[in-house]
Amino acid sequence: MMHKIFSMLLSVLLLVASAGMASAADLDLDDTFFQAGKYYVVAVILLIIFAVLFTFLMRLEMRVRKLEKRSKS
Amino acid sequence: MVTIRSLWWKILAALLVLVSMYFGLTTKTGPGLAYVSPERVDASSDFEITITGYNTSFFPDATPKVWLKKKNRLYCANSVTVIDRNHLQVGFNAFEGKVDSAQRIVMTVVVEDEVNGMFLGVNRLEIDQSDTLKTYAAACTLKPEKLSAIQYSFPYRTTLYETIRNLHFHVPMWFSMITVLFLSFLSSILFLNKSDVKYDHWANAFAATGLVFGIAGIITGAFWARFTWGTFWTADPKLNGAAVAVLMYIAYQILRSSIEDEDKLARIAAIYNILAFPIYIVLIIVLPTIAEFSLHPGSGDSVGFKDYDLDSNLRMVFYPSVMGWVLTSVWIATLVYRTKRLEFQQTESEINNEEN
Repeated sequence: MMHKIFSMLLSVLLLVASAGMASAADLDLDDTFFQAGKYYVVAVILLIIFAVLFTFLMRLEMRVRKLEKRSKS
Repeated sequence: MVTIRSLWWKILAALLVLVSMYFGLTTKTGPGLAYVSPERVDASSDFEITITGYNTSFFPDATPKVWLKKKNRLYCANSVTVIDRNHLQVGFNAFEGKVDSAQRIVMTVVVEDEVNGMFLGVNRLEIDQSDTLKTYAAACTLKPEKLSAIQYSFPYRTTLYETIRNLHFHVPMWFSMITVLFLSFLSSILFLNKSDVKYDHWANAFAATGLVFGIAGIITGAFWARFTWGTFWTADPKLNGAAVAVLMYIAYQILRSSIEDEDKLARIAAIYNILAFPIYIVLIIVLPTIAEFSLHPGSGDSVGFKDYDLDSNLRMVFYPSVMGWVLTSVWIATLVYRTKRLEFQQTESEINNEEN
């Protein structure tokens, strides 16, 4: 369950990242900061941190669910 | 499958936050006008200026056009040469007459082409006009078409520059806070109506989550202000309203922890909360909006970001970001509520066991 959600998040994230890089390259604009400056790496790292945080939140959700089930029975 | 069905909005919250964060961070600002040199010219003879663009892509094929603008009068450039993607060399004929009666005037530089769209450098060129000119200069007939840039980008604004993207991170904190505090307010009304302690737990969980987002909003706002207004804090209706609002909900938590009797606590907390929410809205929205002066966008005499967002490029990231953060804040609040319920049920059963 958790693996499924996490891999889903990660694949969407990588898809979005590659789409962003492709569109920037197509237009042949000044990419000193964004591409040569490897700025996208920073953006993707922030995304990974937030994806991990959301996965953690999801784990917490599951743990609370388990506790709720136990307290009901 | 049951879990996925009940979890879909939580997954949606995560995706919206992540996707809007990616585009919020990586979309460029511009095209814009970074510098004009020289900054001051004498218009009694032909003159040349060099325009430095920010994230522009000038191509000779796109034939950039340049104007000088004063109020509604436009003066066309006589020659425009593309030096490179970020530089234009622009020549103007000597003014045949005055633009207005002042000896020295400040004009706005307007640039437009098919790739970069139209962008301005407001009041960027000082011009000395000759005293001998008696007639007024004729404006040119060619007008900008107000084209948009081809590339998807955020508006380039002086003062804000790259920080304009903070809109997608700072503002959703407040939207989230308002949403969960409204839900807290509703829970308190339900508690007084139905006297079920579970609604008191909801009210408490929503208010605690709202406080977290409010503190995040205050800190991000102060940091942004330091680099746009030059100071972390200033006596502004929006800032002071937000500070008092946050203090009000800190007081709610203190109130909760200071009453021993549980029935009394729930009732007093509910009444406080119901009174607090309308005051909160007044402090954070009504008073700043009707104030005469404010530095904060959308308050007092300051225009909102919607006036910068001519081609809605900010909105396309801002709305998903707000939705994602609001859903996330509600999600966190439900977790707080459920742990409170578990704690409550445990103490209840412990008391029952002791009585038996």
